[in-house]
Order: sequence, then structure tokens, then C-alpha cells
Amino acid sequence: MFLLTDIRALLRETAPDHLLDAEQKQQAARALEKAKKQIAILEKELVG
Amino acid sequence: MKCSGDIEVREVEELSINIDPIQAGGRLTPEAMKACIAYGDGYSVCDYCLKPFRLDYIKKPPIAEFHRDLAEWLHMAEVRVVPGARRGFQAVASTLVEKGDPVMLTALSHYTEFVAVEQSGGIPREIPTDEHNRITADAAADRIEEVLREFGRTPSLLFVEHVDYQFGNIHEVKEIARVAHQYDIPVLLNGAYSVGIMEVDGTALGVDFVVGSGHKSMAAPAPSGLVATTREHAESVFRTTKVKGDRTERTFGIKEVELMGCTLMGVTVVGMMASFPAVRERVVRFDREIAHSRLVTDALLSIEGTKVQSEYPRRHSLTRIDTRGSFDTVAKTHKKRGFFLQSELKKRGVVGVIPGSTRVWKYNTYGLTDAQAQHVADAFREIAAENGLEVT
Repeated sequence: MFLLTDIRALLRETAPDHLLDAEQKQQAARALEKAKKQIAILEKELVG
Repeated sequence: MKCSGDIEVREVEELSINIDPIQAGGRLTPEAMKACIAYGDGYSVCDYCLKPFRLDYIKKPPIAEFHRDLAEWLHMAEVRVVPGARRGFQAVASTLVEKGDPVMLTALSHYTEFVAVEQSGGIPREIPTDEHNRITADAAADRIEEVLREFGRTPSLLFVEHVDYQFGNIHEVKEIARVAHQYDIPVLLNGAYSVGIMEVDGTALGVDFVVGSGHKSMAAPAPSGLVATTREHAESVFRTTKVKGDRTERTFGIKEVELMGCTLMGVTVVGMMASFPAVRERVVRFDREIAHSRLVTDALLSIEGTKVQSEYPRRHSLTRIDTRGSFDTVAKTHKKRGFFLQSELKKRGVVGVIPGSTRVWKYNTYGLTDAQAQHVADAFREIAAENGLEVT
């Protein structure tokens, strides 16, 4: 949820067009990558 | 998407640039959003509430430290967090104002200051504005003299706006406090639009109380705020309970009477705390906010017939603008009438102007990025040009 909050903050900073600069794209990519890993862990632990 | 039942998800800040006059300074930082997720349960900050069982003594999360930091930041002796600035006004007025006392407010005071005076039985007397919508020390001195003649005694308290909610003007607080103190009148600074927005030094301003709003200007959830005092007044405003049950003989420790014991729990206090490092940083970059305010104001003033009612050049991000000679002339014949401006802004991803406003209205550019401020400025100019107004 914290990682999605970071994405939310990026959406706010770049509203209304959401044209991310290179650094913001990197931030978004890092957050999404970490979120995917967290989801994979949850899937494994909760669903099996 | 819905949160639950009929509660829609609020996504206005993610999809648009919001220039609502009262919402800009209270937008949460990402840190506060995370803290709200973690501390959403009612008494969540009370896991480690140990004797003497009071909010400002809790060390985990570091609420006690936060109180100390707030006081130091404002250059005041003591601070308590409260559920909104209004509760700060109430605590001070309830302590200092007796029934029938005259109390000085200003022509730009917020209604909650009046209500706090009313609740204490005080009689409000207003300091008028000058022709530039500013409260001056000269006007304060004249009004205090008038009140002295009328009541035969000085007011028991003087409220003054640091930055008022109507024009976003910065007033002569230091000079007004000096005048008030010549009559031994304690001064309460209403910092609802300054604490958390720009640097505020209560000692340098010479005030006895500083009241701030968390949800208006400190990137905190509502209702939150603070009341700070000098050492001299801390003992009276933050006096502890002395009451005792006649049958049970119960007493209630060190709960503070004006605060009704503990004040902010859960998301309000922890949100305020989580935003505080960012707030402390942002106030020193207030010049950037002024640049954005001036950019947007100047764009509006480049539209023929537009006037600014706030002081100019702008020294704050909240501005009152008069577009009776520009956008309102368009509204008279536009098929959407007065709603055309809000509608055109929304098409360009800008929200926060009251629907139907084309006459006198307010906006706040606080917290925008450079690109967003430019986007808003361009939007106003484009709308004007597309609707036949001259733009220079």
C-alpha cells in the first residue's frame, strides 16, 4: 500500500497530463517493480 | 470506484490541479497518507499510553517529541495539538475572556473567532481594514482607544490574522502586538493560513498565542490544529483539572481542562506528525510559492478588465480576484452562463473554482509544481482568448 501511495504522489505531482520526466518514470518503475514482488509474496503465502 | 456503499473514491487531486482556496495547504504528503493507512484505528496512538495518561506524554509514536519540536519551530514555550484552529481560539478565549469583556477582532476575522468570543460571553469589537484591505497598527490603536472609552476598560484579548482568509493579505502583526501590549492586552495570532505555509516566529512577532490549522496549512487530516503559548500564559490555558467526584472521590490526574483531556488521536495527530518534516522544509521555500502565485495572478491580470482585490504584488498564495470586467461579461451571453469558467477550467484539468463564479472569487496556488502553475496561468489566458477577451 505504501508503494501504491508513492505512485499516487507521482500522479498528484504530474496532474492533469501525467507526463512523467525521466526521473519520475524511474521512480514509478521502481515502485511498480517492488509492488509486483510484494504481490508475489502475498500470492505465495496466502494462496499457495 | 467506491470506498464503500455510496462513498465514491476521491481522485480530484490525482486527476486535476486543484486551486481551491481552502484545500491547497492541507493536501497530505505521501508520508501522512502512509501514516493514515497504518494508524486508521480509533485509539491507534494509545498502544503505549503510560502514566500520566496524556496524549502529549506518549513517546511511541513520538507525540511528546512532536510537541517539543512544534514549540521550538514556532518559537513559543508550549504547544498542544487541537481539533482545528477553532478549538485553539476556544481554549484561549475561554481562559481569558469573562462575560461582558470587550474583545478585539478584525474586520477580516474568521467566524470561528467570533463564535469563540460569543461562547465566552465576550463582546466583539472589530478593527477595520484600510483601503488596501489590510489591518494596521494605527487602526488597532484607534479602535482600542474607542473601546476603552466605551467600556471603561481594555479588551481582555486581541485576535489578529497573520494572513486573512478573504484576501490572503499579510497584516502588521508585530506592530499591532506592540500596540496591544502597551495596553496589556494579550495577542492571539490566527495563523490558519500561515503556520505550515510560511515561516512563523511567535517570539519575533511578539504575540502571546499562535493558533494554526493542520488541515488547512500543515498537510494534515481534519480536524487538526495547534495552539501555542508563551511561558506566561501556558499555566492558565493549559491548567489541569481540579474537580473531584463527591461520591466516588475520583480525581482526573493531569488532564487539561480547556482541551477536555486528550485531543487528537489516530490519523489526525499521526498525519500531522508524518507531514511535519516536509512542512518544516516547505516553509523555507515560500518564495517559490510566491513566484507561482504571481505567475497565475499576472496571467489573470493580463486579461482585460480583471482586477486583483488582494494586495499586489502578491505575498501569499491565496488570492481574491475580481473578474466582473472580464469573465463575467462572457457569462452574460454564454450558454452555460456563470458556469462556463468552471467548465472550461475543468476541460483543461483545473478544478477548485466555485461553480458559477465569474465575479469575485478566490484561488490558491500553494503546493503546485512549476509546470502546474504554468498550466493554470495558460488555462486562464486561453479561456479568455477563446471567449473574445483581450489578453495582453
